[in-house]
Amino acid sequence: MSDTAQDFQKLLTEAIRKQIIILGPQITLLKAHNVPGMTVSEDGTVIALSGNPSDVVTQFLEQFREISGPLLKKTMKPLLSTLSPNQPDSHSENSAISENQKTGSSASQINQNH
Amino acid sequence: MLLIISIIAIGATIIFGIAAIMYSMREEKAIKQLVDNELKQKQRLFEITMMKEIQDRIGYSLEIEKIIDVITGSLDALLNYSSVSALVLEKDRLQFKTHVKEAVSKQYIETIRSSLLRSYATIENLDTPTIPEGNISGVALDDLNHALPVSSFNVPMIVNDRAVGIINISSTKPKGFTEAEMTTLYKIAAQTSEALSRLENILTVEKGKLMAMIGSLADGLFMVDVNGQLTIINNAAKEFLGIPVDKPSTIDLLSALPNTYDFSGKIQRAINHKRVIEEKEVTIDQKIFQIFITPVFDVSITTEKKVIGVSVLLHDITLEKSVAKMKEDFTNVMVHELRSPLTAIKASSEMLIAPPGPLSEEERKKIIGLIAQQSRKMLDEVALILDAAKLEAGLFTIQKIPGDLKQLINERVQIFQAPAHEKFINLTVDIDPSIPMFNFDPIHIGQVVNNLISNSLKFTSSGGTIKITAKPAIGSVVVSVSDTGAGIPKDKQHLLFSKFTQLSGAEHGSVGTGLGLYIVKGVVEAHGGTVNLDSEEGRGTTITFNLPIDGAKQTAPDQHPTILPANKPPKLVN
Repeated sequence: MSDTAQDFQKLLTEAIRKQIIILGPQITLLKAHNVPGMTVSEDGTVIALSGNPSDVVTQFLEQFREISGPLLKKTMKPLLSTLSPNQPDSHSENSAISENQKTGSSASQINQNH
Repeated sequence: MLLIISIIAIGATIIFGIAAIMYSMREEKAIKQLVDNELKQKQRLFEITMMKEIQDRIGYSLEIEKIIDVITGSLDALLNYSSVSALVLEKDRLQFKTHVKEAVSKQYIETIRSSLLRSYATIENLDTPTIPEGNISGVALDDLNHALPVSSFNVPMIVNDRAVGIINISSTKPKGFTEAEMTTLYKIAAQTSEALSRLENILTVEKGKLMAMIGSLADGLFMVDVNGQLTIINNAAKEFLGIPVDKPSTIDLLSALPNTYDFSGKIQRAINHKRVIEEKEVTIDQKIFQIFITPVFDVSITTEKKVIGVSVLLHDITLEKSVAKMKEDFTNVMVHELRSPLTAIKASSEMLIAPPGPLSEEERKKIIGLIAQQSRKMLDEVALILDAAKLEAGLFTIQKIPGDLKQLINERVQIFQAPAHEKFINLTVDIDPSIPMFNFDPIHIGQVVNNLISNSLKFTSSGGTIKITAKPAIGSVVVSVSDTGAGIPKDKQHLLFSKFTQLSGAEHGSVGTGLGLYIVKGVVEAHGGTVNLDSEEGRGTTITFNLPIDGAKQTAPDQHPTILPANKPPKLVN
């Protein structure tokens, strides 16, 4: 597994564990399991990623945006910033996601930010 | 043949069997679809009902506790649960409450409470807060029930980037809630949070407008809630009550309220009786106020009037009271001033009509002279009142003709030499001979000089000096009347040129209408000039006025006057 994929995996694990505290394990794991290309253990650890990691992040954020957009924006800044590092904070999480979908953010952005 | 028939029969059986299985599967799928649709409809209906109820019951209130009560109170229609709990942020304080449907243990509730506090701390990136135990309602707890919340989920409500509440729904059963059920609640919470954010923004803008409006009021205004806590106070109220801090607390307000007026008691009365309390005249720190204490009602409740606080308006009537007193004093003085000559005229006339004995020719002449003198005095007073009335109505006019101000001043000074001599006052005059002839209204400027010298005579004691000077300046002539009299206190100087101001001259045995300096100012300003006062109590007073020199002439006076209304710049006459 490349360093970049591992970085994504680590960020996603952190995000899931944070959401487990905020929302509870049941809904968090249900939403995480809905993300294609991501395998998550019962304690919230991302054990495998397949495909483009930034696509996985986009899908992941979309799942949690359905729960609460403002909560996503407030609690998942590290993940959001991997998608659009140059976007000002005022941009919504939706625009961050769609921006990524349009351009396909490069995995190297993670290393620049973290 | 038999074999063929058997094969056909078996084949037919298999085909029918497969068809039956397929039909059965299709039916099962259709039933499942039907059940799913029914569930979706039920959830959708719950969502719509809930949103309508939230809208109806909340109105324009931002009370998050109420909103959470509406959501948690309707959960039975959506899912089965053991407890529903909430952490609510109200007035910057967190409160925990829970409703128990199944007899769970205290430990169970504590687990939920900790989960909510951790959730809040994580959202807000804070240390886990400690809060009081909170309220528990519903069925009685059973500490023998060792079941724990195996299934639970939190629904945060984020309003304008702040977590204002978190709802927790829990169950003792594993996988107690479906994703669809949980998603429905998240949708409701998201929509409610969005609506609240919008409402909060609108209210913030409106509150800003209201605060700006209240802030700009000349009247003092402050509001307290039913618990006596200060909610709003404007700058005028802070100034009236002498509160030096920018954002005063309730304690600051309470300590500033005067002991002479029972604010707290009156506020409580307004709340209890739900009616306005009006105080016509209350003195606070040497100022006089009208006070209105008005109960403020909760507009979101239409069925009954619920008081949520009171507004206290302080209307400063010090000036009105002062003007009213000045008017009263003026009327008294006017009556006195007109009555005195009338009494003298009446008595003198009666002596002429029905003398108790024969009058000599000399006595007759003396009496007639007295009548003439008193009549003139009365006419002068009436003319003064008329001029003041014209000035006030903007109808005062002057008639400018070329004239010699030096001569006019000298003439007026001569008139006052005798009374000054009688009072042992040294009346001197210093007029610059280079003052040219120029256009002015000789009658009214004569009146100005008269009034100023007359005032100085009233307020200067024996042995004092009155000095009149006149000299040219650039484009104008400057005239000043100085005395070594009583002087005018600083706090009364601003009243000096007001219409009804009558500075006390009782100690000098002098009274007057108080219109003199009002007329002086009006006449000089009608000429386009200004009047200045320089006075020090106990040392004397100098009043200086200047008249613009327009159309200055060195030759004989032009007999065609320029007529100007008061308060307008004079025209140049060439």
